[in-house]
Amino acid sequence: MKFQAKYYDGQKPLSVLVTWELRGEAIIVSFENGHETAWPFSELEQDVSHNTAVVLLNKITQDRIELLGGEATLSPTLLKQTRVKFSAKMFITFIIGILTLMILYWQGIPVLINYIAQRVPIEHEKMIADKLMENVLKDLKTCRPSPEAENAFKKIITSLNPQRDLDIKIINSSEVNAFTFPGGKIVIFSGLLKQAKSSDELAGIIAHEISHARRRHVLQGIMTAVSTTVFIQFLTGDFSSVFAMDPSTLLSLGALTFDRRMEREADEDALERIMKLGLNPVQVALFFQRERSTPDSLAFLSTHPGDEERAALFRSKKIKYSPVPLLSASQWKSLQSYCENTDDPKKIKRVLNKNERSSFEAAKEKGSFQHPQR
Amino acid sequence: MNLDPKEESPPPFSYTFNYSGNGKELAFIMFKNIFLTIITLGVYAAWGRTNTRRYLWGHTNFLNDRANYTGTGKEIFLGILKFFGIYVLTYGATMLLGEFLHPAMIFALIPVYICLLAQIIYSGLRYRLARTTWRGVHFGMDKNPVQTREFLVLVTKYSFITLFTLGLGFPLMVHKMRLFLTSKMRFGNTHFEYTGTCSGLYKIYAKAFFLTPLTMGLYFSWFKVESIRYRLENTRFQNAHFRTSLSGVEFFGFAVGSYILTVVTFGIATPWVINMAYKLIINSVDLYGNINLEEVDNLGSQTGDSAADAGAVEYDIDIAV
Repeated sequence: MKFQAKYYDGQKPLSVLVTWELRGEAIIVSFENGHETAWPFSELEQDVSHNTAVVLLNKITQDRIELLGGEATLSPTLLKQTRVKFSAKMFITFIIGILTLMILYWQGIPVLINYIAQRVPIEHEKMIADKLMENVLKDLKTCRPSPEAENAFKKIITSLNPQRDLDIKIINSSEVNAFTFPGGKIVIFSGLLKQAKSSDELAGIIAHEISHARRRHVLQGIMTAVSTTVFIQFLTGDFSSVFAMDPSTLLSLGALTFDRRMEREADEDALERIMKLGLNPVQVALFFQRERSTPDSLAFLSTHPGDEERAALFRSKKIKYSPVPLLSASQWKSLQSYCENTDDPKKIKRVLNKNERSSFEAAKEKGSFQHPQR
Repeated sequence: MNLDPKEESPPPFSYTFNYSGNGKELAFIMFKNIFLTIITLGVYAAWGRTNTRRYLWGHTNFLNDRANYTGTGKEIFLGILKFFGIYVLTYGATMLLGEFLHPAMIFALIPVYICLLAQIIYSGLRYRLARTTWRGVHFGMDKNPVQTREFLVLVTKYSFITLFTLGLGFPLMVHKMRLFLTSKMRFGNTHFEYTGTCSGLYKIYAKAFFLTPLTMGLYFSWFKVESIRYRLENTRFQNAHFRTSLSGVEFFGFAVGSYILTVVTFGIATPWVINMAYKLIINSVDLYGNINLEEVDNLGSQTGDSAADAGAVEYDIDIAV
């Protein structure tokens, strides 16, 4: 049976209408003038650069024919690909496949990042801490506490951080907040001291931040933000913008942003820690109830679980001991006045690292207390 | 008395272009590309781009015959890797210069960047032409180092003129680039020709300069159509020139409609939008005059720099193909 085709000689941009038919192991091409030419299968291959039509190329003469019918009669060994055909089933399969990948990414990446973050040396985190703290804490003042206030603070910190491997400071600011920076640095704003009603409340907050530091949540936050950005860029083939990930971009992307999983983990760790110290977790619950900033109906939009939910967690454990506050009433009062005097009129250039703090302590004991000049 | 009969030239003829693709088929290709690109972490993007180009080229018809894209995914993939390498080197050099010398040294690299951009335009165009055929005959642009250098110098020179004239030199630069590139483009052994003038282009840009702010940006669609029309009508092949019947109203309607459609469908309608764009533009173009295809000979396939093509895609540079 004969079918129509267009013939191109590859020399001139002219196409000629021809007919073709299968004859044994060859295709016979017949021209209008009666001339016939045989193209054995061994000389033929499908020109796969055409995905809208079946085009056969004669490898010897470089002539081509575009089939206008009869493709189904050709053997699959010759026909490498067929024309593009839309299939609703394939389309749905692709959508499901993409959604599955997205779910796998959403669930798998946090696990992978957690694994990697625990194995990154702490020194690497410390390298980016200084720059970050400078950005966040500029224009704020350090405090000049009285010896009683300093001792009260030391008592809380030593109880919560017996290993003394974290650097925890109070900075003068009316904001009721605390921040964990990379490299085990924690900053508490003095507004929190004023707002908390007891040392146990404060201990709960500090324990929460200590958990963020121990679990390397800051590093995980940065890695999650970067991985998501890089992943999307690779998916869209935008490879060069991966190199836009300079350090300041990295920091602005993910630093200090914890997701709800991390916040929940930190709350659970804090609860465990304060219970080990024999403190009253209900005090922390009272803090959240008092400070309700996120209605539970909007909690799903927040990076923190809702305050009611957090309060409920701290009320959930039945304590079998008589809690004793971490600080006495006078010690707590001293601590609340930690920032009554501030450095004047310096701005923070760089927060003291651990070594500098030691030399600062030594100088203070000797009575030659002076804040280091920056 | 015998008079030699004058040979009369045949009346001009309109050779039309036609785009025969449909959104559903293109969507299938593009969604398949997305899926495979995701699961291969971006590697398949090169093959995906090839599939899409083959579809778009393969549904562009002239005289009832399709164009054909002969590039391969492997070529594009290697081009992307090469471009990535050059990008890393350039980016690294910029950072090092700024870090170890003086941040102002980065400005010393501006001519380098301009040359790289010019190379991307020139070589990217060469690549796409080299990979386009119609009726088995290749388009092309000759590989000639002297020519390449000429183009780099041209772009650098007119870029600085544009810079120092605060943009007034831009239409002049566009005119010079078009004049150069169009004259080097060929189908088979027959070169194209650009007959536009600098003043013609200035009139179009001047109109846009004044009318676009007055119309709060609405005039931009009419400017685009005028630019396209001017470019086409001044591009000649043998004794014919291109034309377009596209109007500003059509372009504006398409721009607004496609934007709304894309937003409302969260991007899912993109293949249909691309399809409509191709249909709108290609179906409006014809080649008007007389052409004699018997005078055209195939010069065969040529090499092309797929890294430049990758750069053109990466930076969304219009290289006219």
